[in-house]
Amino acid sequence: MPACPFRSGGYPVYSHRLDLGIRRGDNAIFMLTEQDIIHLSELARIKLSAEEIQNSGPQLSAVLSYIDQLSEVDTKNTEPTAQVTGLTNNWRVDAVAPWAADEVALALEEAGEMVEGQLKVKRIL
Amino acid sequence: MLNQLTIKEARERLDSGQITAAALTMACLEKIKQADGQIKACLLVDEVGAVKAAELADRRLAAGQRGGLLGIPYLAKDNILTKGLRTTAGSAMLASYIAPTDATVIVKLKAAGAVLLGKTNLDEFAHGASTEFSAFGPTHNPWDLQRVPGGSSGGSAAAVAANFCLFALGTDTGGSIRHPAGFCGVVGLKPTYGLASRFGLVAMTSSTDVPGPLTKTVEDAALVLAVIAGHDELDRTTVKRAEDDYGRAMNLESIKDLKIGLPKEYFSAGLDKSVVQKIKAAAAQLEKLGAKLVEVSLPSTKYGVSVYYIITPCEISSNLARFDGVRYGHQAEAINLAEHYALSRAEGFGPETKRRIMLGTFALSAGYYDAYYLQAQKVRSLIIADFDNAFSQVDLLLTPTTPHTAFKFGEKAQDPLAMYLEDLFLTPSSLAGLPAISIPAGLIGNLPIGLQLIGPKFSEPLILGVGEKLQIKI
Repeated sequence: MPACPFRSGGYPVYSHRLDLGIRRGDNAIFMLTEQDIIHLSELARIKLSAEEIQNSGPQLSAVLSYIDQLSEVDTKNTEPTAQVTGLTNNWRVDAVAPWAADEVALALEEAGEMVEGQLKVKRIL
Repeated sequence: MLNQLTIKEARERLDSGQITAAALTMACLEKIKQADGQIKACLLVDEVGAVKAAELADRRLAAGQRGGLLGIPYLAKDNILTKGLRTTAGSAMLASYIAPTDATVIVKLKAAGAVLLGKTNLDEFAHGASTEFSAFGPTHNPWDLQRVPGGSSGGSAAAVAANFCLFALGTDTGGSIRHPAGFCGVVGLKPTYGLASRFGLVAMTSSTDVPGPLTKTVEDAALVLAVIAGHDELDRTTVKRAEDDYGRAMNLESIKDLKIGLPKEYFSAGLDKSVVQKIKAAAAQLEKLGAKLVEVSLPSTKYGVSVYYIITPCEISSNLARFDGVRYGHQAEAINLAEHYALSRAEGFGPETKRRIMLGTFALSAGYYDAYYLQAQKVRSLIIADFDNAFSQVDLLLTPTTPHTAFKFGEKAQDPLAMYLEDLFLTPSSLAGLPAISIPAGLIGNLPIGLQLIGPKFSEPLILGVGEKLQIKI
């Protein structure tokens, strides 16, 4: 398997890559710091409360420490599985199908503010 | 008490004109009214719609139409879209969401004349094994109200166990039909991935999500499967194949010459002796009927939960990115778009959903992708190879559904890892896309325990046929 940055203690190669600065502790348990959690929550677009930030570190660290058992598996000659149907190149025509007007109306009712048939969103800056 | 009938029993009485769909539906609605205050299985009961659907079914019956589910009342897990009826997925994010279309399985059930009574509770977005993570409060196990019903289809399992309906729909991503079926003492079938359409399920893990039935008997599961199975143009992962006769499976004359595998990894030393005893009793029953028991090994089983809890959060973090508070779902007050996303998601999602999104975000991050996601996908291949190898030796696998009976509220809610390990016996077959069924194997104390049959892809007729022989009344 490719070198795990946690295991080696090394940093990811490319500068644009994310480095959470997470390191394995001496007892081989992952420890996500509060800074790591804040960074992850920003990537996930979820604003966490102070309590959530505090709790998430130990909880996610425990799960990651358990999951780390996968690093012991030899997968040198194993292909990854992304789907199990065995279907390949299941094409369909790339055409717009008509959608019943009542269903379109129902769908749009769920959205926020509409202006001249367009969805209005908050300003970006 | 008509609501106590199985589908098969009700079928005979409806077809012979002994009872009406309207009366059957009223009996279910009455039972829900009487007992759901304690069990809390339902998030929505559509009395008006149900009565109308029952009347329509009665007219069809009177006109001489027949069909496995014509006039049969059911409940659907609330992550299955129902046009015009609120679908919450157990989340505050979708607390008032009304879908513009029906899921394909709902369309099929409607066409078959089944009567939708309402929607059932679940762990938020189906993330959990206890139904404690629902934004609308937990469902209680009808066998012991102090205990969880399992999850994530806990509302559906509890509803069937409490005779609120004749069957319920659930979804199973890593055990979410089978786990609560085991805890509530009902039958839960997870079909082969690609057999029944996922169109209109609130997406969780697209590579393992499947819809399936929770029923009172194995025969009933076959009747529901016959309606919901089949290729769907709207779900490109459904497989085109000749229809299986699930009903005929029930006439499996003999299970002589069948080889039943007992995977040793599912009976490890730590497993409760009383659980082992129940599963071994079922194995002995099969042996008595002429089947041969064979010990097999699935050495990668121990990695199932780890693989699952990488692949699932990754797919969740991607699938749940659609909840941006713009097109639908909870919308927060915010001053700009970035804050609008972050606050809408903060307020709309509960703790377990946030955890899984964060885990997935982490595992998919550049730099960690190879070590986590790619490695998990490779170990997934090894898990599949284990099953392929086992099925070259045996026809079916027999295992426990869960390592123990239903636990008490709060026991695991603060310990995500303990909750994840609930799915120890369930995730491998999900990752491999195999069909599996949980059937009541008896009681331990006053609580049900389930056994699981796992078969090769599309072997539903076989697992249903063998499962029928193992049914016991609990």
